[in-house]
Order: sequence, then structure tokens, then C-alpha cells
Amino acid sequence: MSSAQDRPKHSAPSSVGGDNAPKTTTMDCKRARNTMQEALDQRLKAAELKGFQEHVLACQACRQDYGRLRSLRQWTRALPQEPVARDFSARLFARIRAGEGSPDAIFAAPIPALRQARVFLSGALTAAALLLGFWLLFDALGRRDATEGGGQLPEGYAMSEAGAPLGSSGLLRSSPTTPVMDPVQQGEILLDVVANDWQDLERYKSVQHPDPELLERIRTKATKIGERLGILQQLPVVPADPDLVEQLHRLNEAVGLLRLSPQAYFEIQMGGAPTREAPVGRIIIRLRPATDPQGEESPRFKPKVGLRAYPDPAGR
Amino acid sequence: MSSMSEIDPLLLSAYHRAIQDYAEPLQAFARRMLTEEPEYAEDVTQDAFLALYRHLHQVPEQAWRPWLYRVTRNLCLDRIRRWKHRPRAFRELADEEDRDPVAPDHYSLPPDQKVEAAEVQRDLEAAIADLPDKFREVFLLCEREGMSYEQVSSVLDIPLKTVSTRLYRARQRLLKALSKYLEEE
Repeated sequence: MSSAQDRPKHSAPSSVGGDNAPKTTTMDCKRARNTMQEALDQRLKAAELKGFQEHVLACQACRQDYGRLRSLRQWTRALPQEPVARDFSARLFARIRAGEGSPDAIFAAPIPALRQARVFLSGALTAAALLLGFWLLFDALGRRDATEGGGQLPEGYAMSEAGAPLGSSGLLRSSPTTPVMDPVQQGEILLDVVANDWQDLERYKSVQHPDPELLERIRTKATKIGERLGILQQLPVVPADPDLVEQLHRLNEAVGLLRLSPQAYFEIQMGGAPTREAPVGRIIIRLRPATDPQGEESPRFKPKVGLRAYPDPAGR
Repeated sequence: MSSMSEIDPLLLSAYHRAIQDYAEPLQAFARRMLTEEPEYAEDVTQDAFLALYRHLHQVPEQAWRPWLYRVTRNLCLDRIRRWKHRPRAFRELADEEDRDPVAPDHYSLPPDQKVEAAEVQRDLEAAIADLPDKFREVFLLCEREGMSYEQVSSVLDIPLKTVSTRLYRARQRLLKALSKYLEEE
């Protein structure tokens, strides 16, 4: 494209040279150059397009520039396109039949901040629901234990059906009727919310519970959240989430229920940029005793990512 | 994961049609995005269709085309990233292996029109390959695939204004690279 310096200036309205018959145009060269791309891409409004056409007809320099853009387009569209291999479909369906999964790399593109927040929220919702499940289980078993006259939970009580310990430090072993956990037991569940880890979460859900109805409710809720999280993880395009508000509400609800517990203090932290290994980031859940060993009150729950905490019934 | 027998036959038929309609342009798009490793274009295209199959029930049929382009673009960027992070020695070795024994500069072409068209194509391909990734993807989607700004904005998840700006810059660079042909026009 020729530069502005080496062309005649056609101000609007002006009599322009170039072609044999001078014409008056309503658009100058600068404006024409600015709208050239939009004209080529058919994004000009009718009035603007008319002005542009008039100018280009009158101005040889702009006509040449426009012609260059058109040539570039024609050449680009004429670039050869090699056909796919004849067995492309056959090999694709062989892979499908072999049960190959979606390539991980579909998550490789950087995730925009808003989307990150959405995914974090979904992950946090899952985590909160799981914590809720833990706590309800914990609470119910504790009550049963107390009714039976036992002050301590049976050994191995907080083990999953598969025999694996829950959490990273056996945090469910402590009794809800005594100070919930000492600093050693105070736990931290580190969930790298990636597809594979969901299998582990499934295992957490299969903990034996004395109240089948409650267990079923927890399972249903966790499964639903898990499905949603699974979809979010699998889709390269996280769809516009119309129920983000509902998710927030449910997360608040879950966190709020956790907060109703007088025995424990829960803190949910969301952090860490999504990586290829953990595309939806990392969620850390810390459980602290309601009072620390010195008997001082725990700090207030300070949720992140704009979540509102429910009012603390204990007034803490 | 749905087995083929569980999928609605109409949906499966639409999927077959999508392969027929989109595999070739997608592969061409991938080849031009993967400037360092164009031989992976077919793998990337297959992966994109595989991903689509796994999400047949989640992606509306009318959104398949932009969805496929988006997945293909992500897969390409992933490959490009991996290529860039390969140790230099491996990259240079691969360069040696892949190098055309007759360098493009040494082609002796008779000055007829057909050859000139081939020359333009070759130089245009090289100029497109030289574009930064973010300009190249916008240019290819708009100019080569004929997508609207809105579609490109959706595929790449960038604002319309950014589409327009990147397209403008890509065109300016290409026009400059091909100026010797354009001056003759």
C-alpha cells in the first residue's frame, strides 16, 4: 500500500485528479484508507460504502491500494489445500472405537480471567459440597457415637470403603464433641481439580454413612456438581454460564451450612493459575479448629473471589 | 463416553458430513498454523474431530465449525509451545532433517505466468508463516476460511476490535512482503 506522503491529497469535498474526469468526493484519502479494510470485508454501512466507492472511483492511489487488498485476498483464497488422507475417517473411527479420549491440549489455551473465576467457582462449589458431605457424615457419626456412650470415634472410622484415608492428614478422625482437631491433626485437603482426581473424589463419596437418605442426598449433589465440573473441564469452550448466580448461591449455601457448625472452622482458598497439568487451577481447603490451642477465637472466614459469607451464627 | 451405537444416527450422520466438509480446510488451517511442524496437521485435525465426537451431545450442531476451529487452534498452539520449549539441539537437528534439499532461493523458474503464480503462492505461504501466531490465526480464519469478524471473535475469544486490528496488521505485513508482485499490478 502506498504511503500517505507519496499520493495526492483528496480532501472532502475536492476536485481530484488521477482519472481523466475530475470528480468531487465526500471522503478524503485518509478516511478512505481507514475504511478500506471494512469495505473489503463488507462491514461498511450503505452511506459509508457509497462514499468509499465514490472516492475509490475518483482516486487512483486509493483504487490501487484497494486493488492490492483484493489481490491479497484472491491469492490467499487460491492457496492450495491438500486433501485429507483417504483413510482419515477410517483411522478416526478406529481411534473412537478404541476409546481414545479427547486430547488434553484442548485446554492449553490461556483461560480468560472471567472464565477462570467461573471454573474456580465450580471447583470451589464441588469442594464445599464435599466438605459439607464430610461434615454431615462427621456430625451424624459423632452423634451416634455419643448416643452409644463412646466419646471417641472408632479407630479407622474415617476410612473410605476402599480403605484409603480421607484427606491428607486423617482429619476426620477427630471427634466432633471434643475440640475438633489439634494442630497436628488440623488438616488440609489439597485438591488439584483435574479429571483424574475426580476419581479420588468419587471414592470420598463412598464413605459408609449411617443415614442412607442423607448419604444419597450428598451423593446426588456431589454427582451433579461433579458432572458440571466434568463438562467444564472437558469443553475447550466453557459455555456462557447462565446459572453462574445460582452456582454462587449454592456455593454460599454450602459454605453457609459449613459455617453453622460450631465445632469447626472452614476456610476455602482458591489460588494458583491454571496450568496444563491442572487446567482449572488448584483448590485448597483448610480445616481449623473453632478455637486454637490457646482458646482464642479463629479469625473470621474471609472468602475470596467475591463470595459472600453467611452471617456467622456464633457471632464470631 | 458414548459408544457409537448409543449415538443418535442422525447426529452420527451429521458428524460424518462434518468430517467431509471440514476436515480438509481444518487440516489446511492446522498446517499453516504449525509452521515448524506442518507434518502434525493431520494428527491435530484428527484430535479435533475426536474431541468433537466426545462432545457431540454438548456442542450444538450449528456450532461445530467454530468449535472445531477453536479446538484445532488450541491444539496447534499447544504444539507450537512444545516446539518452542524443545531443547535447541533437538530443534536444529529436526530442522536439518526437514530441510528441503533445494532451497527455495535456488529454484530456477522460467518467467511464464504459471510459474509466477506458483512463486506468489510460495512467497505468500512463507509470508503467512512469518506472521506472529496471533496475526496468522486471525488472517487465516478471515481471509482463507471466510469467517466473519463475529465468528473469528467467538473462535478466538477476542473482542471484535482486536480481530479488526490484528487483521489489519497481518494484511499490512503481507502486502509489504509481497510488494514486488503488487507493484507490477
